[in-house]
Amino acid sequence: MWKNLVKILACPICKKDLLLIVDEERDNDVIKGYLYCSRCNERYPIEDGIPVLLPLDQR
Amino acid sequence: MKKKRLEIFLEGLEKFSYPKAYLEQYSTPANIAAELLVYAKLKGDLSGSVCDLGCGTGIFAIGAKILGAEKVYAIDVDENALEIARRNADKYDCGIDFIRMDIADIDKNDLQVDTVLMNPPFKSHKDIKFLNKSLELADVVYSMHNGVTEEFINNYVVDICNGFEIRKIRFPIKRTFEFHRKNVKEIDVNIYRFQR
Repeated sequence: MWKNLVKILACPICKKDLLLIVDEERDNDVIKGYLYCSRCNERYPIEDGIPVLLPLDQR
Repeated sequence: MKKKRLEIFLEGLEKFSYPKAYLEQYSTPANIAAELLVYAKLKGDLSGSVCDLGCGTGIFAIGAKILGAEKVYAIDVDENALEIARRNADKYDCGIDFIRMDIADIDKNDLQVDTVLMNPPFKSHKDIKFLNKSLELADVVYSMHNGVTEEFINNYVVDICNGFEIRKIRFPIKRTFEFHRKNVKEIDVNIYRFQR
């Protein structure tokens, strides 16, 4: 996931902006990590470079 | 790139191995995808940012990138589809931003692009949900719709866009699911270019 992509992503539940937490990156691409919504206290995983913006029960 | 060459290239992309009926995962035939892509290219709609909505195996996203789109987003709700799409994009070194989410959750205040390309699911008016969303995200939308829904679509979009063009084609659907009775069934498909 290209880092700047976080600017156009929002929490699917409350629509608030998300915080990007990087665990692993390659050439400015996030391979592993998660997007965090502080309002919902929800973590959306980045798996193999693809952000998964689905509520827990739909993943 | 000539249309025939693009078609041959797109034909080489990986398709669904285990398509899901409820998501209507029919792979878009390469000749139809090439038709839509070249149409969009000649209209000058593939130079800026493009979003492939319900990207499946990524045929429109990858095609758009090859034809010169600067920034391409590919969105799908299905994990398996995105895995295949990513493998397809990696094979040809396409820089595409993949996102796994329900299109209903895309916020128009966050994502705006120049052009949306899509082959939306047909059943139970899911195509209408895709149409509504796509016209929130882009000024120009290319979409494929079942020919039998032409009157319905044409009447529906009057309220949500400023105009459209139609190209009529025949779309061969190969036997994909067990409940299909014929090996190949041809259906009439309209390629639309909607202008917001």
